[in-house]
Amino acid sequence: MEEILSIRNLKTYYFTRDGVVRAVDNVSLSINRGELLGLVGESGSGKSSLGLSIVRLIPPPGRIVDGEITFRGMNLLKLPEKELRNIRGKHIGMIFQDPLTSLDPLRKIGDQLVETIIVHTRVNEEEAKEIALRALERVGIAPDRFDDYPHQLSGGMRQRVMIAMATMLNPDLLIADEPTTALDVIVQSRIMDLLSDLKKSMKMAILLITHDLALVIERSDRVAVMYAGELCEVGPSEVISQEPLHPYTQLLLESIPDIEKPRTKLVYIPGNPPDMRNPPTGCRFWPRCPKVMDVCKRISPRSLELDDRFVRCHLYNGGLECGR
Amino acid sequence: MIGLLDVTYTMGGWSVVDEILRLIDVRKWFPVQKSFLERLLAKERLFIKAVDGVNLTVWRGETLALVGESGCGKTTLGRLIVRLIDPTSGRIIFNGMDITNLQGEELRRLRRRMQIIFQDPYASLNPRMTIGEQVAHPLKIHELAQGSELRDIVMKALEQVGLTPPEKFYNAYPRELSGGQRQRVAIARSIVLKPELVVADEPVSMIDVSLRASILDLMLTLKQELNLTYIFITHDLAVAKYIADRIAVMYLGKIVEHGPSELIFENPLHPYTKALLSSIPIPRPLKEPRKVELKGEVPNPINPPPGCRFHPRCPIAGEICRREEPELREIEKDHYVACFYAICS
Repeated sequence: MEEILSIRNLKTYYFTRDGVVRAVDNVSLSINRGELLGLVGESGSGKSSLGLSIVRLIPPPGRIVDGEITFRGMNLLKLPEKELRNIRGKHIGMIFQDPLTSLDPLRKIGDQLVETIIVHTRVNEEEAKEIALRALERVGIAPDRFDDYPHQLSGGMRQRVMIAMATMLNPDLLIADEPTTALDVIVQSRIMDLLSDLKKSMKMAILLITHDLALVIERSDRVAVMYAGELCEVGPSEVISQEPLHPYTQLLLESIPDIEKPRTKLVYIPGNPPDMRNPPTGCRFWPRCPKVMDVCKRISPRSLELDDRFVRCHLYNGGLECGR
Repeated sequence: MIGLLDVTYTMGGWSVVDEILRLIDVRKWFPVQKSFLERLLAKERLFIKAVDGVNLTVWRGETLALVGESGCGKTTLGRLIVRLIDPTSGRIIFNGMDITNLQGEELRRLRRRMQIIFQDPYASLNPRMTIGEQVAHPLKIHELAQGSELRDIVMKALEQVGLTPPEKFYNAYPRELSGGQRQRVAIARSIVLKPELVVADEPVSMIDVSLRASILDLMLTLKQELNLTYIFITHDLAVAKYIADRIAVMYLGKIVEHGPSELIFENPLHPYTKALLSSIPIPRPLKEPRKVELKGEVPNPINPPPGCRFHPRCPIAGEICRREEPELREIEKDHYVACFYAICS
């Protein structure tokens, strides 16, 4: 397996007037070629900040404070802005939640695609149009839509245009932040099929960022669970769905209704996500954790790795076997 | 009086159930804004047919989930039911009384008996009012209590929705509360008048995943305690399965299937319901890509397709579907479907 992106000890903080928000706090994660990695977390967990940090698009007052992001051997955090601009959109594609705000409403979609191609490559307009049409075809949009404006397309079609734009230059990595949240389930299912196809046919690595744990487990090869700026657990989706280790993952799994199972009482997580300007000491999940121990309130748990799994929880301090 | 009492089959046996709400051929067409030029040329008036001929009965004490994709008309139908907007045609019968054309004082009195909870707890609360004032507001409008009695009722309502201790929340402002807590305030405000019917429009879709189940459980508990009837509007069938006794599926302004929750999930009959059910993510890895057989996307509600509105996307559509519009038919006990090809399996 070839590692395409590796994040080491990343810290992204927002320096607001009311205090420092540690949105991403010492996160390490890697993605392999041809892998769909699902990053799941609630709103405010820092998952979007992690995605934006990779392409260095953190808006002020946010800043990457520390860490290393290695993409195909280059440290992205050390790269001059000019070189980074060439990587964004060409080697790393991005799709965001709302396709309406990501497309220019006053320009035809075809022109927007062609321009992106010309900015990043040395092709002429004729060739660029060919690439654009091929990309649209791949996402199931007919060539006669080339001269349409964004408002003439439905939400699902706009999102497919975004996917076409993000993937037409064959990037190695695609960052998809809540790509289907604004869409209905039927359209969502089709968009996810499309992403799976791209992953297979183009050997693309995909970072899927979402709040939807069911979607992530269903579609990802590996799942990373984030809570209050930190990773709690990472593992293959099969294993995470059957044997989650972190109490947060366990509770999340029990709190989502499952239409294939008989109606049972849902479990829910007491309390609220913490105020990120003033997170709890020790493990950030302890105030809501049903398995809280004394040590959790004082000391932040260290990372434990076993085979292809990763967990940060004091339950497993004596080895991964002891908390089960 | 129209069919106030009816005999129906509920879980566990025959019983007498009474009707709280009946919709008869309800329509809501929104006129499309035209430009000056179009008016000058006297072009034909266009309408968005948001709700286009809905017939539905809601039984007292049940939770009916109204499900469908965005743009299917479910929110418009919810607003029609509580008379926030007026129907273009059709009749709305509440407790045997025709409320379609109620106005003024009569409408205000009706509002005590039916309430609505909105999707966005950040927009539905007044940022300049304390939590106590917001919850007290409906009681003041209806002149039901004042002074210390008012305060006691509000405190009790806050306690009922789990905002404890209530003293802590009474003088707080919405900005000090999380999304989940705000939605609890909105729920408190809707139950403080002791309504009979509550329309909840996507009450958990903007709430954090970890808190959704607690809001759903709260709503189920309140329903028991206060003998409420819910119309629960959602796009999320998994949530509908969890909370609803009965489910009605909407597509392009019409109800295409309705029936007891278990039957809808075990034996969906309309091809649209089947497609919806097969696209819901389940928390287990997919072995192979899902096969959703639907073509295209939801057509424009200004000009819905002739015949069955679903036929251009339907995998089993035949000749008749292009010509005639199917009516809701009872295929098995209490399970209604508007499809020419629906058969009981």
